[in-house]
Amino acid sequence: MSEKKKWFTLDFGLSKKQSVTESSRCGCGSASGGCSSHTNKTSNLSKSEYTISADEFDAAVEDSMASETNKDGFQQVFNVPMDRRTAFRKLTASLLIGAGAVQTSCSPFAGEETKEKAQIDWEEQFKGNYKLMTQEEKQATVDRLVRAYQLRKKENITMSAKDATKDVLFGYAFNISKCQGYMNCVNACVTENNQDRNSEMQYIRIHEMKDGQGFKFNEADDNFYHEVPAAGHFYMGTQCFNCDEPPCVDVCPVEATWREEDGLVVIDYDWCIGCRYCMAACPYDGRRFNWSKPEVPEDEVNKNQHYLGNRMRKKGVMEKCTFCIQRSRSGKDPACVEACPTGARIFGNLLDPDSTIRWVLENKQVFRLKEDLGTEPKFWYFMD
Amino acid sequence: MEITEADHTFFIPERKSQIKSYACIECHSKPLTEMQKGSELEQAHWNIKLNHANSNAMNCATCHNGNDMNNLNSLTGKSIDFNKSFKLCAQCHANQVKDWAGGAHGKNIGGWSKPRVAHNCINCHNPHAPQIASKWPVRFNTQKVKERK
Repeated sequence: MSEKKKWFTLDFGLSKKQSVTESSRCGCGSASGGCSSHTNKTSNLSKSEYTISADEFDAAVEDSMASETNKDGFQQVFNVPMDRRTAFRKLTASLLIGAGAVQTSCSPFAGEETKEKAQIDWEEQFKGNYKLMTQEEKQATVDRLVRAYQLRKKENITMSAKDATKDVLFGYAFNISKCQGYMNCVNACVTENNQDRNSEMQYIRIHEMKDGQGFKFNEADDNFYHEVPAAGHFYMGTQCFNCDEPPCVDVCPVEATWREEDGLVVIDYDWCIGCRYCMAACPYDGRRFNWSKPEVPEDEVNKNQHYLGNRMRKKGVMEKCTFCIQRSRSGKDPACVEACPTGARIFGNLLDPDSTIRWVLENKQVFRLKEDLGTEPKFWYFMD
Repeated sequence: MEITEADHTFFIPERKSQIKSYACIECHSKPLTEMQKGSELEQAHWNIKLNHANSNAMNCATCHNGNDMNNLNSLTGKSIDFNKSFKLCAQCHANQVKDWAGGAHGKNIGGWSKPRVAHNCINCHNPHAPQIASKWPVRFNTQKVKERK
């Protein structure tokens, strides 16, 4: 058994002592071997298992790292140590879906397209977490999703799996003396990111606040409809701040959300279980939940999509602003920045000393919301 | 077109090609005083109402030169190219132009990556009436109203 072991064991020089005490004493309190655990314990404690040289240790660490990062698809799900109960639970859940897929794909009566759909569904069902995929695997899942959309809706979309560019860290600045509450940003955001039209989901909120009374979000109106700008008021936009220390990421029980290298906090919609812990953890109301199946009229769907961005979501998953990952990773400004008629929104690369965002941070008085929480939002407010 | 202002080099939209009847001297072939007399010529530009500072500070001739219609005119009588009209604005609005050159004021139009492209002053502000009028928001969320009842 010890040769086949996949894990490694650290030797802190305790092995000898431990083996002695283990063999001499037992959980049952008797040293005589009255309980059945004594014989098993001592036989398992062969020396090779507990001592390991430095070289062997390094090799073992590398081995386990490699096996962790290379695992994907079936392996990621099946090739892990787990107890019987978890195994049964996972299997039954997946098999219910899988059975349906197999039935269709093997049926002699089903058409080619139905079979292909079933094949895609099967592979999508058992794919791994996007975060752990290699670039080829990312491309494969994106290709499957594009094909699935083509089969179902008879429409072609483009979907990207573009990774973060090196030496890019996105940051955002918002000029509260320029925003006038026109809401063009909200409209642009909804159109760009394919948000559910039925529930009128919107990532951005514009708060109309009274001058000279500080930031009172409880008294501010975020759904005004009158001529703007209203006298004696200023406007302040909030959305996901793509924090550098995102509390939403820490609480996710399945690691379906994470911070990318360029600072964007993203969600794998296919890995999210919809527990909404992240929604509760976010101090800025940055996250949204799909209570119903998101619906967008086919002619309004933005077909330029990114796997981690504006691709179509499903019922019961979280979503949020990603600074328009499908746009920002290809050098464009997010839709809200482009749509703002006042120029109150500034976006750029924090690592580029010549960028406008850096000039704003260095030359204007900037502040961030709830800085004391240590979330390090990459979203600064400033005034003229 | 590329410009350099306060150590920042970036692009702004070219202006002269966007003016409907540039070059101005195609109509303004005679000095203004003579054109005003001749009734056979069509009257132009008289619809422009100047709503920019008060008449003590600003009139047409503050920015336009009757003897050099193709160019703008600085406060000291120097000629300013129509393509670089921000230099004219900078005479009074120095802070805004400084912010604009740095990137804190005005609108970026080319995306965050290089090269940087920004709107010029006159792309948002009408120089004859620079105040931006109030308007209605483009959106009202009816679901939010229902949810909060």
